[in-house]
This record gives sequence, C-alpha cells and structure tokens, in this order.
Amino acid sequence: MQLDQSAQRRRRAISLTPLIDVVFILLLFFMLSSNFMHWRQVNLSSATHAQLELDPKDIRVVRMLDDNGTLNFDGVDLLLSNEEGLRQQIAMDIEAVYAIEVEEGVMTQSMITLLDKLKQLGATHVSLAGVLP
Amino acid sequence: MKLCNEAVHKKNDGDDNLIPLINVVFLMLIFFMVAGQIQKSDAIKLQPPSSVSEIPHTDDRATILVDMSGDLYLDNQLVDEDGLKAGLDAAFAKSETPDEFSVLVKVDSTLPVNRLQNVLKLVKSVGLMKVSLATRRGGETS
Repeated sequence: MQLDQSAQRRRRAISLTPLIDVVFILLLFFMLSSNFMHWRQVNLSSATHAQLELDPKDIRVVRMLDDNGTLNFDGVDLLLSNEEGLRQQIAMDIEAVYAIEVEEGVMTQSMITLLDKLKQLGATHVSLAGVLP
Repeated sequence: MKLCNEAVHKKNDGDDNLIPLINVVFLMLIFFMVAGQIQKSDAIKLQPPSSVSEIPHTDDRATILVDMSGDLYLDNQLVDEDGLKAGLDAAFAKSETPDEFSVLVKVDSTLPVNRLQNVLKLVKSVGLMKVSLATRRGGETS
C-alpha cells in the first residue's frame, strides 16, 4: 500500500510545464526560421548557345514596349494577352530564335512573363537580346 | 462531500487541461518542421519574379544579388563591378566541377531589365556562360 502511494506521488510530480516551454521554444524557432518559398530558376544561357548555331536570318525580335504587355512581335503590334495572335506568330517559325528586347524601364517580372508565354506557346529558343555574344 | 472530491481531483490533475494545448502546439511544430525549409537568408530582401519554370537550383554555383539601387552582392558580400569579376573568377577556379558551375542571379521582380542586362554582360565578360535567373513559383510570396 505504501508502495502504491509513492508511485502515485511520483506520477503527480512530473509537470508538463517544462515540456511546454521547450516545445514552445522549438515552435518559435521553426516558425521564425522556416522558409516556405520554393525557389526555381530560368536558364538564360541555353538560348545563347542555340543562338550561335543558327543563321542570323532565323532571329525574330520580340520587343516589349511597356509593363502592360504591349509588344512589337517582329514588326507586328500585339498584346501579351492576345494568346491566339502570339500562337499564330510563333507557328510561322517555331525553330527561330525569339530574341526578347525591352524598352528602358520595363520590369523584370514583365520580361519573365513574356519569356514564359513564348515558351508555353511553342517557341523552342527564347533569348534575351542585349546579352547575346 | 462529492463536490469536495471533485475539487481535489481537479487540483491534482491540473496539467490535464494543458494536454489539448500541447496537442495543438505539437501539431504546429511538426508542420513547421516538415513543411518549412531552413536556409541561409539573403543579404537583402528580394521578391523574385514569378515564373512557370520548374527547374530547381543547382548546387555548384555563385549567387549574385542585385538590389534596386544597382548594388551588387556576390555570395552575400557587397562588391563593386571589379570585385564581382574577381570573385566570380575565384569561385570558378575553386569549383570542383567546373563543367557544372553556374551563376545564379537574384533580382527583385520590379528591377528594370536594363540593370539586369548590365549584370549579365558583366558575368559574360568573365567568360561564364551558364547563367540562371532566380524565380519563384507563381503565387508564392517570401
């Protein structure tokens, strides 16, 4: 009987408060130091190599005029939102190098959006003009 | 008498009330441990452009950060243009796999492209041709 009492006392003596302290500290550490952003990358070099192998006549210049998506697609005025028009232009020469040029002040996000759109619509070689060899 | 017994029982097992709290806290802890990634933070805070690209970062690389004023950071150290070229040369020389060595450029999505192009020209002048631009998955924020 005495043994039972001491066992009960021992069980009660264990407090959960220190455990919670440690768990809270761990939780705070992981909350503050965790990063949920998944970084990805866009390769800018492969198109440059492709550029070297192709004849200059296969270059089609896509000029971005502003952040609203106004384009001059190899001489044709288009909007970035006009997917059908872009698809028709790309279908004319899928194998060409599409060299992206931008007006001064256009943001990187706009250029990346254009680059993604060209690749999604079938362009196989997309390059940043101005950094070509 | 019965009431007294209950009061004593509650007093003795006071920690029992904390168990649901501990359950929740443990769940949150496991979530942050499993879903989050702990990585070295950048010298400056950037919101990279979003893209549909699914190419993950390569391991053997030098990282260049460009802030809105055009200041350059090579592997989180502030450098000028000459320092950048020298640093890239040194990083390439130190690389164990020179064929895989690439340069990752991190810029803010609102940075004008002409500034980015200046940096890319600098990298190209060193002779490094494997250049990538850091992006994030569409819709994600830092």
